[in-house]
Amino acid sequence: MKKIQIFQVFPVRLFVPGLKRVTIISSFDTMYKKQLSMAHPVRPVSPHLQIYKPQLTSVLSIFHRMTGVISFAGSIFILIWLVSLAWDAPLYSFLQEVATSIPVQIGLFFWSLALIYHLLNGIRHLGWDAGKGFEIPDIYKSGKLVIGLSIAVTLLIWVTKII
Amino acid sequence: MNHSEQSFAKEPAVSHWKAQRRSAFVLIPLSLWLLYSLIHHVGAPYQQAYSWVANPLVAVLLIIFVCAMFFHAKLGLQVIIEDYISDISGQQAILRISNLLCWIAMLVGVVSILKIALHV
Repeated sequence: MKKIQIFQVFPVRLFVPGLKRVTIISSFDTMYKKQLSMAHPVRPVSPHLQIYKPQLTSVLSIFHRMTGVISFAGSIFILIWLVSLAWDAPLYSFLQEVATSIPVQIGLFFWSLALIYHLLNGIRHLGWDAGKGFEIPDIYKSGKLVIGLSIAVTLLIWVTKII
Repeated sequence: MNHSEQSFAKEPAVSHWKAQRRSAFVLIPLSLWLLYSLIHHVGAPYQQAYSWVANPLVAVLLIIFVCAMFFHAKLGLQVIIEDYISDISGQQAILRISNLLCWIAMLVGVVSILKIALHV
């Protein structure tokens, strides 16, 4: 409540130049939105993810975080696998059965794809940290390379398994 | 005390940054090796998987992997939690839980590998 009062004390003309009369609106939020819609009807409110058009750079950056979390989730299963191997043979045989089922194999494929992407994009990040490939055209080139290589390396690992 | 001061008070940002990259370096060869091995060993009989982990070289590499990976995960999760949870007390609470879980996971992993490798 205090904040709203402070803002209403200020001359609203400061925020929207050229606007002479402003009706007092009960909350700061609706007042702010009203001002914005009067000034520029489709103007973004704040620079946030939903506002930007997806670009290769930003999408790959978000992928890096998502695949990091996916890899972590998968590593919990590696942990359970190790624990069953060390302490609980019946649990291991249950996991063995589950792991060879088709849905789990498909999940495993996508998990490996996420991990390989995180690894390769991580190398891209390490390159940037070393000051290499940080020009805009290079960033796009390495980004496309990482996508291609992730799919290629993942397929390679799985093809060697099947053969 | 503002948001960023409070977040970084306990741990300097530079050491976080360096630790994240060092663990990443270690994980590049190790995770490729483990991923390849796991995909090829998945569904293996108990005895085969057991003797694979019991191999001294495999056990040592697995221990390094588990330590580096859960450490790297801890650092990565920390950044995500700091970025997306704006409520500072909630953020700190979740951060503590996530750190604790990573340390426990690391410990459980290492103890399991040691048990197999030393035939305890």
